[in-house]
Amino acid sequence: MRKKTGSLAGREVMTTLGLIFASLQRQPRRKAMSFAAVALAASGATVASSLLVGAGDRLTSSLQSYGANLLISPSDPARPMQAGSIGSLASGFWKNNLQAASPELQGLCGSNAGRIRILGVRFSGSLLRPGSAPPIPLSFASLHPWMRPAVRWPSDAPDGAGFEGIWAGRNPPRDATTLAIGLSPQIEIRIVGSAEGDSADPYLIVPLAAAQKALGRTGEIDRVWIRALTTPEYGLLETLHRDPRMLPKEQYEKWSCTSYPSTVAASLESGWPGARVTVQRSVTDAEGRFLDRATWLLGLLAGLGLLGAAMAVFSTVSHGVREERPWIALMRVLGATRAELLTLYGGQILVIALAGAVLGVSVGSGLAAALSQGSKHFPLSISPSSLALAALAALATALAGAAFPIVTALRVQPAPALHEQAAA
Amino acid sequence: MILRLALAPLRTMAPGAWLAIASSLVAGVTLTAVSALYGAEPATPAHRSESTVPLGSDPSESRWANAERQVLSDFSPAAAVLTGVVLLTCALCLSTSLVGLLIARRAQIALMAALGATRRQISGIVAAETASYVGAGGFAGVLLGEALAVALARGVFQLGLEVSWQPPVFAATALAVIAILSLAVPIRRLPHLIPSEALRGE
Repeated sequence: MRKKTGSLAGREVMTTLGLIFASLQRQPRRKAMSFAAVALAASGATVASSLLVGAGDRLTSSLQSYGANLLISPSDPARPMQAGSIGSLASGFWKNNLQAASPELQGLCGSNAGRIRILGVRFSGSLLRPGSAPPIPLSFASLHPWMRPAVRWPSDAPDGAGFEGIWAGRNPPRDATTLAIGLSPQIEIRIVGSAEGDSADPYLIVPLAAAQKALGRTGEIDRVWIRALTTPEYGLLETLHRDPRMLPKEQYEKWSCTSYPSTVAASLESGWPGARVTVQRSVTDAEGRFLDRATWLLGLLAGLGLLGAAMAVFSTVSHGVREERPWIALMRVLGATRAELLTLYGGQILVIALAGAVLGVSVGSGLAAALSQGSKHFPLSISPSSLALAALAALATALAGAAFPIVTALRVQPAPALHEQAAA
Repeated sequence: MILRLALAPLRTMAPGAWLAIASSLVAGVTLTAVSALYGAEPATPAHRSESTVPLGSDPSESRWANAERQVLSDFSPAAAVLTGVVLLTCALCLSTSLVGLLIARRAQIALMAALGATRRQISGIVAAETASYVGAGGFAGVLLGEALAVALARGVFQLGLEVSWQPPVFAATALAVIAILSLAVPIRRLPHLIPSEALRGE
């Protein structure tokens, strides 16, 4: 048996490459069609992967208009929660997922304008988290974005003229009107503006400290609204069991390690004795639904694009192989093995697919950047892994589309094919 | 009789014809599913009674639907680009399949030309055949796309999607445009199928 020397092997590789590039120049229109199909599929896959990576976090954080997704309230209504316990939020396992909190106290109290409903909130301030994480904002405004005051939000601390307040609802009094609320000594509230209210009856939004004094409930709060970064879970607990503790062990472990709203709620509840944390299902479900809708649509379109490209490659390669049957037969007669034919046709499609993938990924990245610029919810997240994934998907598509026609080429019987050619 | 005539091209179908049907099917699924899912109305949460609403709660239930519409409209350009990519690949596939079909039947075409058929008549036959492929594939694609949209909307997105006439009509119109565009290349290549050259290949 003859041993190939290094130079001989190198010459064979060069010859094969030469044959591949020479064959690429035949039927240039068909090759261009295959190239275009692969490039289109690669660009589609790049756009989809670049826009979807990170869309969940962006969507969750940008959907602040939904307000809070968790509500902390007393487990026993007869035992109100203490405002000082809110510090437990900064030490729980999911502390870094908390984006904002709003402690509130509401009640009915007397005033110089009759009995009035008041809502005590924090307008500013924050809760420090251990480590380098930014503090958790304690702000009514950040969790109630639909309430836009006509002038400005009041400040928490009283100034020389007393506390400030906002009128929520219809028939607001004139600005700078002062109301005296609560029992003696009454607290002066200067109304600095009005906001759209949620209820038929108007009410007064005042600093938490003022509400506690006016209602005679020093240090107490009724509830805390929380906005937490969570992973959509809808259907999980409903499908299995309502109680996470009833989940199978493997499911329970997955549940407890993922920032599902119910997981975060359970963690917050365990860290705050006497509190009950409920998930605002309509908010978390809506977020999950948005993300799923976008993911499915982009995924479906990217998949259909790849399928279309595979069919286009199949079409062009199979027609090419049909036209080259006499050539293939001639090569077989002259001693070409099936492996050599596979190298020739596989090499051709690989070169076309590689070139198409490179162009498609480049065009797709540019398209994704342009689309992301005009979008609030779909950030541009071009990572090497997503580009590689898109390029690999395009390559696999091209190879899958070309596989059957190439196998057909390898099965060409020289004698009948040459006979057909001779008859022609 | 009419049905037999309509199905006649399907009986002697070459692989290229199946590809033409498959690419029309993919285009039909894409157009119908995407347009139906875009038209689906977002769900709003169940009505909350005034007595259970803490002060400061969201006053407007329609805000939910508006926010969902806002996200979807933000997402529209990306979906439009990807839909365009899918339709382009389908048009490429349809066009190459039709060219392949013509080349495979160049002898038949040349014979028709030799027997006196004009280029217009041959183009008409090619167009009718294309219409039958696109019609069959597109019809199946529209049905499949509508079913897929309803299944996704109800099973995954939890939307109340009703079957509507608009997505199929939109898909059919777009498919007709794709078919006409895809026909351009094969029709342009017809004069190259010179009778003498082609008959030599018989």
